[in-house]
Parts: sequence; C-alpha cells; structure tokens
Amino acid sequence: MNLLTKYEEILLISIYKLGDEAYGARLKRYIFEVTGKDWNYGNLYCTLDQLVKKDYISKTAGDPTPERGGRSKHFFRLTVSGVKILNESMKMNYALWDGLMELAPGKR
Amino acid sequence: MKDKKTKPPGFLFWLIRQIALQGEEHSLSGDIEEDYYYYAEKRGRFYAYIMCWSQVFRSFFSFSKYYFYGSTGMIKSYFKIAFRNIKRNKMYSLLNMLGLAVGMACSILILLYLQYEFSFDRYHKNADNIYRVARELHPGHSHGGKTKAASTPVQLKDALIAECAEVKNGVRIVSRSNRLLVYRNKSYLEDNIIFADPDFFNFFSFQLMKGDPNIVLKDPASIVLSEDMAEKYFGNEDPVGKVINFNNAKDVVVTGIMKNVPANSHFKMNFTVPLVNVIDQNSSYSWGNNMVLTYISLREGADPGELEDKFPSLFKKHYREDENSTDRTYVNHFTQPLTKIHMYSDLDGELSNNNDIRTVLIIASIAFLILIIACINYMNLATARSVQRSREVGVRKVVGAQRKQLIRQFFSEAAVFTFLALVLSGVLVILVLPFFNNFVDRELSLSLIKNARFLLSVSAVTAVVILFAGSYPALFISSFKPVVVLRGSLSGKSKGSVLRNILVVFQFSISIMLIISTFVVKDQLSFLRNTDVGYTKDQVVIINLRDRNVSRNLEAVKTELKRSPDVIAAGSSSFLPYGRFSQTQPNFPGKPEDFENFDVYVGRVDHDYVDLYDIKLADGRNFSRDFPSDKQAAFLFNESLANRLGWDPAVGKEYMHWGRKKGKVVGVMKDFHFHTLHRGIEPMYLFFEEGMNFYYLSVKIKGTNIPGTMEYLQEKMRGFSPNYPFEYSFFDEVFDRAYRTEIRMEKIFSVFAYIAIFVACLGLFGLASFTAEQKTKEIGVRKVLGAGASNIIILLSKEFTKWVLFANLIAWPASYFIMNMWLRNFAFRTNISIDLFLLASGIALFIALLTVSTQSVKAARTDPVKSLKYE
Repeated sequence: MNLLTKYEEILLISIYKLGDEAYGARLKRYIFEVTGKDWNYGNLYCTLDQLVKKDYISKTAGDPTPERGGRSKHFFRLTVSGVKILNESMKMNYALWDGLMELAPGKR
Repeated sequence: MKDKKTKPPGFLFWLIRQIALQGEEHSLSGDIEEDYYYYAEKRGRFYAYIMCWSQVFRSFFSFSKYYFYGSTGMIKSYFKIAFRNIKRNKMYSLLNMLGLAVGMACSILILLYLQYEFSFDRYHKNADNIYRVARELHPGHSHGGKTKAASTPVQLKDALIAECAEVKNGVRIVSRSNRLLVYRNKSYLEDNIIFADPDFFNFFSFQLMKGDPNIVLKDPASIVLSEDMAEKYFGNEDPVGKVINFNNAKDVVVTGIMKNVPANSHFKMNFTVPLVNVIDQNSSYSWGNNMVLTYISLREGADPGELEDKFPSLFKKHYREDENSTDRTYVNHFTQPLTKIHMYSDLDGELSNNNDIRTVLIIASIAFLILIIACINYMNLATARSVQRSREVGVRKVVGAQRKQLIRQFFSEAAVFTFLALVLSGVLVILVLPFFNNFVDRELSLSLIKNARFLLSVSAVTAVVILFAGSYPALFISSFKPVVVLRGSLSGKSKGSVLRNILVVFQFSISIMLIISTFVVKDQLSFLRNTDVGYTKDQVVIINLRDRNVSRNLEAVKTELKRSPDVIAAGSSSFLPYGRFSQTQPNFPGKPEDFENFDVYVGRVDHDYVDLYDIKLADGRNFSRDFPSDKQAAFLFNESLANRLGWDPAVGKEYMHWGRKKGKVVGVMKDFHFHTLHRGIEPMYLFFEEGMNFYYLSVKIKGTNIPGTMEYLQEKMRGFSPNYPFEYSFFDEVFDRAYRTEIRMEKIFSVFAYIAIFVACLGLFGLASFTAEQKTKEIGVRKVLGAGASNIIILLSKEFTKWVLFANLIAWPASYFIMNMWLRNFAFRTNISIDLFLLASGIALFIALLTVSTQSVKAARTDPVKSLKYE
C-alpha cells in the first residue's frame, strides 16, 4: 500500500488534466489557478523528479520555441502505473469524503 | 513582439543552471523566461523582473533540501528529533554546545583579527599600485640588528619617475618627533610629525576636511593638522589661516585639517609639513645620504619585478656621477607593496612597529587547535551516547530506513547543534571583545563583520565544524546492525571506546603542551628579569632630556637634584638601556689595510654614569673630573672589544672615534648586557664628550618615598625646563618595553592554555558522567558486595587517568622540541627543567581527576537499590 503525498497527488492530477500542455511553467500556473497555492519551481521539479523515479510519469522532450529563448520543454505524461495509483487515490478520497459537505467545527 | 531589450537578465539563467536538477536546467530556464514575458505583459517589466527573481530565490531552498535529503518530506522530522534529543539530555547538550561555542568564538575572534590586520592601508585609492622602495644593508653594516632599511636617497624619487617608465608618481616622507608647537598659550611637545612632498595628499587617500589637496603643502610655511590636533590647539575656532610656532624656529600657517588617520594604517601622523623644511632644495645631497622614505605608484599593469631589475644600473650610474659618494659596492634595493608593509615588514627606520606574520600565524593555529578540541568533544559525547541511540537506530532500520537517511539524520543533529552553538558563540564574542581588544592592542568592533568575506568565512567554519564533528557519530552510529543492537548485547559496554579514548588523549596532549609552553615562557621571562646583567638597575628612574637647554646644562641639573637625600646619584647618557646604540667600525691609528672590520656599538656617557649603574671595571679607571683630558677624548672599552681587537692590555692604547676623535683608552669594563638578552655581548665602547647633547638622565633614588621623590624630581626639572613635559620611565618599564614580544607571548599562551583545558575538561566531564551512568548497575552490584565509596571512585577514575597520563607521552617531546626552537631566539636562555613538565602534567591530571571525581562521587553515593531496581 503506497500512498501518494499530497504534492504528488496534486501534480499527477494536474498532469492528467493538462494532457499535452503538461510542462513546467504551465503546470505551475495551472496549480495556482486551481488551488490558489503558489508553488516554487524547486518544489515542482523535485516532485516531478520523485514521480519519475517512482515510474508514475514519463518525460519527453519537446521542440524549442522562440518564446523560451530557443529552449525546449519537457512534457510529462502519466504512465500506466501512474494512472493506476491515481485511480486508487481517487477512490480512497471519495470513500473518505463521502457524505461530507462543509465541515462544522465542534460536531463530533 | 519581443525585442532584445525586454529579455530577462542573463545572470538569472546562470544562477538557474547552478541550482536546477540535472537535465532540467534548460527546461527550468525556459519556464522562467516564459513566466517573465507573462508577467511583463500583465504588469510591466519591473514587476516581471521582481517576480522572476523571487521565483528563483524560493526555489533555491527546495532544490537544496532535495539535494541533501533526496526527499522533500523528511527533513522536518530530523530537526524535530534533533531538538527532542537535545532537550532530553539537557546537561550533555549544554556542555557540548558550550565547548563548541568556545571553540567557534575563538575562531571568530581570530578571523576578525586577521581580517583587520590584512586590511591595513587598503583604504588608499591606489593601494594596489603603491610600493615603498627599501634597501638591504651590507653584512657587517646592520643597523639595530636589522639587515634591511627603509631609508633611501633624497634624489631617488625624481630619478625613478624620470628614468623608469613603470613609475608614475612618487612621494618622499621624513618622520620626526620631539618638536615643540606653540599657539598662543598652548604649547606641547609633539611627536608624529611627517614632512612630505607637496602632492602627498593626492598620492595617498588621507581625507582633508578643510583645504585643497593640491595646495595645502605648496607653501613651505604651512602645516596640516589632524582633527584631534585641531581641537587640541584651537578648540572650536577655525584653525585655517592661524599661525603656529614650529620648533622655536619657524612660524607656519595652518592650511588644512585632515581627518584622523584610520587606525589600520602603517603610519599615522598628527601633523604634516612640507618636506622642504628638512630637505633643503638648494643644497645637494649625495646618493649615499639615505634620509627619506620613498613611496612610488606604478602604472596600471606595471610589473614591480621589472622595475627592480632596473635598479642596479640606475643606482650604479648615480653613484658614479655623484662626487660626494664614496666608491661603495652596490646594495640591493627592492620594492615593498604598500599593503604588505604592516604584516611582513620589519626594517630599520620603519615608521611604526609593524606586526609580525609569524606571531599571527601562531595565534591562528592555536585557535584552530582549540576548535578541533571542541569538535572532538562533540564526537566523543555523541558517540558515548550511542548506546542510548542504538535502539532507536535498530528500530529505524527495521522499519526501512536506509543508512543514507540515518546519516542525514545525524548530520542534521550536528547542524542544529552547531547553529545553536554559533548563536552562543556570537554572544561570547560580544562579551569578550573588549578584553580581546586589550589583549591584541587593537580596536576591533562588531561593525567589521558586515562584509561578505567575513560572513563567508564564518559560514565556512560552521560548515567545517558540522562536517567534521558530525561525521564520526553519523557514520559510526548509523552502522549499527539492527540484530546486534536490538538483542541488547550492546548495552553495558560502550562501543568505539578505543577511538574515543584516543581523542581524549589528543585533547589533553594539546592542553598539556600549551601549559608547558606557558611555563617555559614564564620561566624565560623571569630569567630575563633576574639574571645578572652586570650592572645594578634597582631604584633607577630615567628621565627623557628633550630640552637642549637642559642637556647643555647637566652639571648644574645634577647638582640641584642631588640636594635631596632621596637622590643618590645622577648620570646622563645618549642611550637607553636595551635600546639602540650607534654602530660603527673600529678605527685606530695604525689600523692595517687588511683589518677585518666588525660591528662595534658606541654610547656617550658623562662622568657619573658608570658609577651610578655600578659597572665594574676589569682594568684602568672610569672617566674622571680629575683628568681634564678626558673631556677631549677618552674611551672605555668593554672586555669583548678589547679581546676582539686582541689588545692586552688595552689601557693606554690610542683609539679614534669616527676618524676625528683621537684619544686613549682609559679603562676596560667588565662585560655587561647593554642589549636585550636576545643577543650576546658584543664589542662596545663608551666615550665622554662635553658640550654634546645627552638624551637620558638616569637618577638613582632611595626607595623609601617614591611618590615624594618623583614630585621632587618633577619640580626640579620643571624649574630648569618649564615648557617641556616631565617624561620619565622606571627601569622596569624599560625592561617591559624591550621584551614586549615575550610578555605578550606569555599572555597569549596562558590564555589559550586556560581555554584548551576548559574545553577538554568539558568533554571529559561529559564522558565521565556518561560512563558513570553506563556503569550504574555495575556500581550497584559492587556496593552490594561491599565496595566502599573510595573503591568506586578509584574504579571510575582509573580509566580516564590512564589516558591523561598517556597524553603526556605525546605532549612532552612535542613541547620540548617547540620550546627549544623558540628559545634559540635568545643568546642567553634558561634551561628547560623537568620540573616544568611535571608541574604541567600534574596540573592537567589534577584538573582531570577533579572533573571525573564529581561524577564518580555522585555515582558512588547512589543507592544500589535504585540502580538495580529495574532488572
């Protein structure tokens, strides 16, 4: 039973959702838009590296573009095991959050 | 769309390349650039600039964490555990931290000191290109024991500027003291006066608060005062334009006020006067007349070595052209960088007493050693507690921790420790700084730390401490095998005790060495103080004679002084004991052509000097009023001179001083030490000459009422010379000044010895208490079986004393060797007696036992019931 850390989970979901646009700066912007948290690049790339090491995502090089001063991007895609673990995580989250709306303090 | 101007800065990308993960540098750089344009469109270039920098900055820490720990999650737990461990063993932690803090405080102070010392003279704008020209002296012509001199010919500066392309500019300096300055009712005898060429203030960067640097020294009758002097003479008035009388000779106008010379300068002056006042432009000086100090500035990129290569031909040419110059063999001249003068230069004629790089290096190495001792403490204490931690390590390994992670954990602990120790050492430094300043005779302040290089060095020291001190526990404890450890077979005997004991030995060797060195230096100092110098120096006051009126009138002065019964005798001389004597070569009628010259020292005395100091005569008589011919020329040789010349008997032989004073040798003095005991007794003679100025009046007084006698002397001297201050020294003070280096060395060694022993004992204390704790069960059993308190104490102490005694094996030969080398500086030295070694080791042993005993007594008194209860 391997649990994803929260950072890893957020990142995997974002990669899945962004599809072909899943590269560094885009991911960072997306996460900020959705969660409101401003990740720093260190966090981003280190977590990406961890996910690659665990074989949940794969990395491909893209074409250089002028907007980036002629540098290429690395695109990330979920691997089979990545999708699997994300599914497990989603199921677990649904199971836990089932029936709960806004939590009220003091109750139970 | 995007023109070149709106691109983000290139330096940013270099930084990104340094910190990004391998393989992702390009990607990250591209991301940052993309972000830059995004932000730029949103809120403009400046906003984008700031945002990108903050992104990079924040990423830095995350990347670092990942590098060190391989994960971004575990670090917090490491620090939590580190803090918990510290709290749990409050006493050990405190001891350990204190030891580290002391070691680091020493290093920080030394770093401050080094930084300051090496910063001398660097504030001058052109400092890197400024050099001083100096010369070597002929062997046999050494001055005051030194083989090189800073004084150079008067015409050198102009010749260098004209004939050498490398030299851009130059300035000549002459330093004088003892000039009387008078303004209205304020008159003072001033030292620290500099005579300099007119472009002095353009050449150096001494700031002028008032006055234009191009013209302040133009007029010969001008003077520039320092801030402090301006206040001293003029108070709140504006000094510019006022007239001061200089040296009873000339009136000079104040043309400028200079900011006080910064403390980190190799020369400091209160008054600056144009050079023409001592160097007459019209008269010609021979190239053999070395009267000035010459500072030159080289053009950018010029090589001082190439300039030095030009010296031989330049000098030889001018010697030949110069009619007044004797046909002398060339002496080597060389250049000294301005910034190196303070630390490395020790020439005859230095403007002030410079520092010595060797002393500085010694102090730095001792501080470094103390830091090592402190780190060893940490290692010892940390591994001694390894039994406690072994179970933790076993459990961690069982649940899947890799050795790498454990190593990281222990390094984190070392880091937490070290940072806390760093804070503590900061407090120590602040507290100790005034005493340290006193100790090294400087005014270091905390503002000096506000520069990148210093903070970088401190960080480097911290990092080294963490790595060094943390390495042994990290590697050692993390290597425990879970099976062995959890089975419990480790408890009862601390693992790794061999290495730990070696470390204790090392710590105590260093401490004992420092104690022995302190004793040897103390011993040598007391030897210097008490050894028979061949004359009597008790109860002697030496008065400085600066007023020419007084020194011309000495017979009357002496008679007047002797009216008091407290004054036993008075005699005058041209020299101060232990001080500088003039030097020359022997000269006498009929001196053979092939005579081998040697250095002879010369002094001038009056009739009463020899008797006042009780200098014994081996032959002949003292100068005497009964022989009026003495006044013309008479000589007193010392035995060494007579023997060296091979004159036996010497009395009655004719001798010449400087080729112009012919007379007879009237007596031979038994050898006495007129130099410090660093040197042997060299050939020397005294001669008498009336009408010459003497500089010092020695007065022998009765010791019964010293304050009263001093008041009497002051009154009388003031009577003869109302304008001049009454300056005197007791003979002991003269001694202290002459042996200043040795006295300082004694202080240095003793302070360091205290610190080293303190830190070593901290470590020992921790180890001892730990061992006692380990052995509680054993002690409990022994007590039950009938052991008394003393047996327990002996049991616990035995282990440690063994190692302290062992430390002697290293300390004794090492200190003997080092101290012998130091003693070779002295022609006359004390024997290093075995007593010192025994005493030092005894002290170390005693302190160690004391430290250990506190713990062993506590252990011996514990109730066996308590210690055996838990099984």
